[in-house]
Amino acid sequence: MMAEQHVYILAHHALLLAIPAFAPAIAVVGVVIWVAMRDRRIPDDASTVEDDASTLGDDANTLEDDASTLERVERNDNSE
Amino acid sequence: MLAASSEGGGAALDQVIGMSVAAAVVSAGLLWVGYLHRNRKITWLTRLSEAFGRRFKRPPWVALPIALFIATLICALFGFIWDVSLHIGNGRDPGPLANPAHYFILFGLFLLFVAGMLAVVLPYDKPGPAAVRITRNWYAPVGGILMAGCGLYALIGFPLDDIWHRIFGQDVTLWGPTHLMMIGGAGFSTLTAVLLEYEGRLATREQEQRDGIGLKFVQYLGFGGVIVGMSVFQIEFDFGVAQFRQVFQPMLIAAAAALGLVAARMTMGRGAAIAAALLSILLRGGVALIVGPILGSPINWFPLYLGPAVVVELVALTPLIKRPMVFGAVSGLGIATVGLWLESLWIAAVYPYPWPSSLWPESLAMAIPVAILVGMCGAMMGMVFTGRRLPRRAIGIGIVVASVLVIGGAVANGLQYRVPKDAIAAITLTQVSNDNGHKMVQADVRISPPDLISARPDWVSILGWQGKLNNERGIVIDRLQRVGPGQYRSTRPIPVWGSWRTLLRVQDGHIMAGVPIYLPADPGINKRAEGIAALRPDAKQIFGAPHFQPEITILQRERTFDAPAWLWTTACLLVLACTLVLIAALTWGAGRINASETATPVEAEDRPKVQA
Repeated sequence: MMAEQHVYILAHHALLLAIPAFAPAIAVVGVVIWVAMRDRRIPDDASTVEDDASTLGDDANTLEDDASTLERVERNDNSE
Repeated sequence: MLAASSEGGGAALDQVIGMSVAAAVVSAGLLWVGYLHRNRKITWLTRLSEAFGRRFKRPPWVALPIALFIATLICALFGFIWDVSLHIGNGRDPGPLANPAHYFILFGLFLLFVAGMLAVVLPYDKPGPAAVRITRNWYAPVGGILMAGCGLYALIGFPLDDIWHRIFGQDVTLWGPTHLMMIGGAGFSTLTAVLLEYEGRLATREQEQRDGIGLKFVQYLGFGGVIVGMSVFQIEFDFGVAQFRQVFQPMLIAAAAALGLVAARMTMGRGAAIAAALLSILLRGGVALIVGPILGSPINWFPLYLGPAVVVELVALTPLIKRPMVFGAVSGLGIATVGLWLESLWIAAVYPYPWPSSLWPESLAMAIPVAILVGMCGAMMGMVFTGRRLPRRAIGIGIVVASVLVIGGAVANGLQYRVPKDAIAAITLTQVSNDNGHKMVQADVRISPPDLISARPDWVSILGWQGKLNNERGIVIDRLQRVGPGQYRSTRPIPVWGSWRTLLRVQDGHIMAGVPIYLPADPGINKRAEGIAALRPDAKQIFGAPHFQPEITILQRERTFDAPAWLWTTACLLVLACTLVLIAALTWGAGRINASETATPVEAEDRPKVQA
C-alpha cells in the first residue's frame, strides 16, 4: 500500500538522521557499565566490592565505606 | 514535529551506510579519548578542563561540562523552536536531511550527552562526597551521570520516534510520546546542570573564595534555564496551534513556575525568582526573535513568569521562608492563583488565544494541587542547593510520587474532550481576492444547534497553517467575531489555496472539534482533497454544512489509525516508564547529594549532643 510505503520513508529519515548521535551514546554508556561491572567482579578488597554492589540502594552506607576504604588512596593528590 | 518526512525519494542506501560509518567513527573517537584520558596517556583534555576550571573557579570536571552544556542547550533550544515553527509554517519537510533545524536539535542533544559524559570521565580524584563509584579509582559526579542520562533519554527518543512512526504514522504534534521524551530529556537536564554546579561548589567550599559576578550570573542563568526547560511542554500554546484543551496551559505555567522560581529564591536569595524569570525571558525572547522576525518563521510567544516571581518574592518576605516545605506549598498556591492571574494579563495581551473567564474553574482545580506539590519539590531542590537536610526519605519521595500522581491525574482530566454529535457548521465562503491563484475568502459560520457554544468559549477560530513561510509565515489565526447566537464571521481574509491547511476550530470547555475548510490533496500520505473550499476551488462563493469531527483527524492528517488500541497503550506505557525512571533518577541524585553533604559534618556535630 502506498500509505505504508510512505510511512516507511518517514521513519527512514528520522532514524537516518539520528544514527550518528544515539548509537555512539548507547555504545559509550554500554562500555562504561561494562567497565564498572568488570571492576566489581575482580576481587580486591572483598568488603569494599560487596558493599559497593548496593551503591544505588543505600547511599549512606556506601559513602561511609567509600570514605574508609578509599580516601587514603584518593585524597593523596586531592589537595587542589 | 521533530521527525519529518519525505514523500519523494527517501534516503538512499549509501546515506544509511554513510551515517552508520559516521556513528562508528564518533563512537570510536569518544571511547578512544575516554580511554586515553582515564589511563593518563593524554594531557590535553586535562589542561583544557583545568583552564576552564581556573576561569570559572570551579573544579575542571564542572567548569568544562557546564560551559559545553550552556552552549549546547541554547543550541538545542533554538533548533527546537525553529523546528516547530518550520513545521507549523511549512508542514512536512521537502526531503531527507532537508530541515536545518534538525541538525541543531541533534547536535544539541548529542553534545548534552557528551557534556554529561565529560563530567563523568574527567575527574581523576573523587569528585566531591556524593560521587558515584564506577571503578575503585574512578568516581563520577552525580550531576554528570544524570546529565548524561538526560541526554541518553532524549537521544533514545529518536529511534523510538522512528518505530512510533512506522506503527502509528507521523504524529504532527509536540505531545507525541516520543517527542515528549526528546524535549523532556533536554528540559530536565537543566536541573542536572544546577546539581553538577552545586557539586562543584561543594568540592571547592574549603577554598573560601567568593563567586564573582560572572559566576553568579551563571547560577542565576541556571534557574532561568530550569524555567525554560520546564516550559518546553507549552510550545504548541506559544505558537497558537495547541492541539489540546486550553486548561493545560495555566497548569503547565504554574508547574514550571513553582519548581523553578521556588528553587531559585531559596537557593540564590532575595530577588532571585525575579532574576530567574528575567533570564528565562532573555533566553526565550532571544530565540523567538531569531526564529520569528529574523528567520521569517511563525511568531512564538512565551510566558513571562514575572507575576509568579513577584508572588514567590512576596511569600519569601514572610517568616514562611524559614520553613522550606511550607514556603514551597504556599508559593505554589500563590503562583497558581494570583501568579496565574497576573500571567493571564500578558497572555491576553500577546497570545492568539486569551484565557476566557470560563476557563478558570477547571484550570484552577488542575493548577492549584499541581503547583502546591511541585512547589514543595522546588523547595526540596532549594534545600539540596543550600545544604539543608531534606525531610525524611519517605516524606521526600512521597512528595515526588504525589506530584507525579497529581500531574498524571490533571493530565488525564485535561485529555478528556468530546466532539458534539450531530452538530453542524454551515459555512459560507466568499472570495475577497485571487492574485495568481492565491485565493483568499471571507467566512461566515453558523453553528447548529445555535446554543452549542457558550458566550465565552476558549476559541471559535479559523486556523490556516503549513501555507509556506513566504505567505504570511505560513500561519493565519483568526478568532471569529460573534455576530449572533451560533453565528460567527471572519475578521480577515482566509487563505484557501496551495499547500495551506485551513480549518474551523471550536473549543468550549470539554468541546473540542473542527471542520475542514481547505485541505489540499496530498498524494504523499494518500489523502484526497477535503473541505468545501478544496472541493470547489473555482467557485467565487461556496456553501457547505459539514459535521464537526475530532480535530486530530484534520490537524494530524499524517496519522494512521490502523494500529490496534492495545499497541498504542503499551507504547505509551513504555514511554511513561522511561520518563518515570528519569524522574526517579533525578530524585535519587538530589537525595544522594543532600545525604552526603548533611550526614557527615552535621552528624559529627550532633553526636556529643545526643550523648549529653
